[in-house]
Parts: sequence; C-alpha cells; structure tokens
Amino acid sequence: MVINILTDNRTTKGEEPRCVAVLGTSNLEYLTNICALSRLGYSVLIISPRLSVPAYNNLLDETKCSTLVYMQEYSKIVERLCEVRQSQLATTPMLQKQDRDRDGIPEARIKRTAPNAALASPHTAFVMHSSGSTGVPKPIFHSHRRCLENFQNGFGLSALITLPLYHTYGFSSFFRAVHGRTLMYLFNWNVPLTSTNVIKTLQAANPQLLSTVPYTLGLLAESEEGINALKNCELVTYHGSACPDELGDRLVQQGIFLVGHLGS
Amino acid sequence: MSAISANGVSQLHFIDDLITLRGGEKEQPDILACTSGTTIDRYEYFTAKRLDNLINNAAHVLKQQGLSVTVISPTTTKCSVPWFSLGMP
Repeated sequence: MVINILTDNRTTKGEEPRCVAVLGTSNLEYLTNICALSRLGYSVLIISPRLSVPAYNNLLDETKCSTLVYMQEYSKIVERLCEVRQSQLATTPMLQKQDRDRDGIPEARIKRTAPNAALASPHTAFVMHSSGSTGVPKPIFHSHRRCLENFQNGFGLSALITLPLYHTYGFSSFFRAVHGRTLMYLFNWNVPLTSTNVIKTLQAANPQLLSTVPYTLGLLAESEEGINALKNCELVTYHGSACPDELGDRLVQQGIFLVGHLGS
Repeated sequence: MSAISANGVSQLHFIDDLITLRGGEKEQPDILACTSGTTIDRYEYFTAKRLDNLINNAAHVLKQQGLSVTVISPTTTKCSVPWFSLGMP
C-alpha cells in the first residue's frame, strides 16, 4: 500500500513548500528526521548547532521558518531562541530510535505525488547556510532539481566523512553515496574530533576516501601514524577553508593524493 | 568522477525519492555506516532499503503526531501541526 501525499496546494500554484528547521548533532537520527520531513513535503533548514541565538533568529527570518525540530541536548539554546521569537516559533524534540521502532507504525509507503510534478523539482528541498565568517550566516537554498543533478557527481569510493551533516559537503556526501551505491562512514560526533579519534576511525573503517577539513589534516600530519592513515586512503579531500600551502605540500610530498574541494 | 548509471534518477522530482529508488533495487550494498554512543570502531551498516524503511517509519510517526501535509481533496491540501504546541520547551 502506498500513501500519496500531495505536495500541497502551494506546489500546485508554484509556491514554495513550508520550511521546518532542524537542530541537532550529526548522527543517524538527525539524518532520518531530515529525510522524513523532506518526505512529508517540507523544505528543511539544516542549521549548525554552533551558531549564536541572533544568527538562528536571522536564519529563521530569512527562510520564513516558524517550526523547529531539535535534539534535547540543545534545549537551552531553543529556550533562548523561543524567548527572542516569542510566539513566532513552534518547537518539538527530534524523533529518536525508540520513537520510530515502536509497534503500530503503518507499513504503507509514503510517497509524494505532486499534482504537477514538473513544478515540484524547482522547489527548495534543503536550506543550508554560510559559515557567518563575514557577517551573519546566510541561507543557501538547494532545490530538488539541483540536488538531484549535483549529487550524481561522486568519486565512486567508500568514504569517511568527518564533516558534520549540517555542513553542505557532509550532507551532500550522504546522497552521493546513495546515488553511487557507495559506502559512507559517518564520523561519531559524540567523541571529540582529535587526531587519535580520527586515526582510530580510519583504521576501523579503512575507507578509500577521507573528506575532512584542513584543521583535521593538520592534526593528522603531526604524527607518523596520522600520515600513514592518510596514505592508506586513495584520495583525501578537504573542504570549508583553504589548506595552508606548507601543510598541503608536506602531505603531497608524502605521497598523499590531496584535493581541495567545496568552500576552499 | 565515477561513471554511475543514472538508472531512473532522471525521472525523479524529489531528492528523497532517490533513497526509495535505490531501496527498491535488487542489489542492496551497504551505503551508510554509523556508530552509536561513544564507539568509534564498531559500525552498524545500512542498505538503501533499510534506510528507506527507517525514513518511512519516521515520516509515519511525524505524521501521526501532527506534522504532515494533509490531503483535503485531490487538488486542495493544508498543513497541520497541532503537536508542536505541546513541544514548547
């Protein structure tokens, strides 16, 4: 059985679907909630948990978003945000494993069928945001069409992603893995992003590709064990900022295939 | 870049349908590996089919709790979120 959910009358008229914001730690539950909201017909504002309350407030304003789904560990931030926005923000805790594993959940497939599917593709699927390094973080809108086109471009390699899912490349890596039928290892954000933890993760996962940030590359480059862990990868990509020349040269001279990618 | 067969992707209109498409394929390689707690060396693996089911379940629960796009008629729909008022911290 399939439950068809129309993408609502705004899609019929060519208007944008409603936006729901998601605030949490990058993990399986976070990813599941985002995809479930998308499946229900919402555009999803994916926000970093590292921002200030004014930055959250601005992003919610810019995206006309009045609903926030959050992980309990961020409830203090949400309380402060609710104070700032008064009645303009409805909030709810994010679903956890026990919520979606309980008995009595229908097995029927939820599938969206836009009355005019051609109108749906240009609509916003996800809203990511800039880092805010040159002012307040600005929303970056990604349509379904753009996602479907961009996420076809992958390296076709198994990958360890140390970027969180609220980073554009970290998030897109998941869909690149789905598209390419390749395996993506998600770094555990419940542990600190230290050289030791990344090396242990690399040794356990043994990925062909490591996608990370220059800061982490710098940490790994401080030890022979870190260099060897990088050498075991067919490709190492960095994102989010520029890699210092000295560090990049040193890694390449060690035989590491290093590629600068998005946002660098 | 890999030469990946589009295999129906060009027919999709929503990005999450990509997961459903892959979940319906005969071959189901693992596409996601996650740890839990503070473990960094023991992974749980997920195929597209398993992920699609997880997402479908989560969407059902969200829908049951009130967050859904409710069909009123084939051409007229509305959103409903009664559950959110209960979730105010």
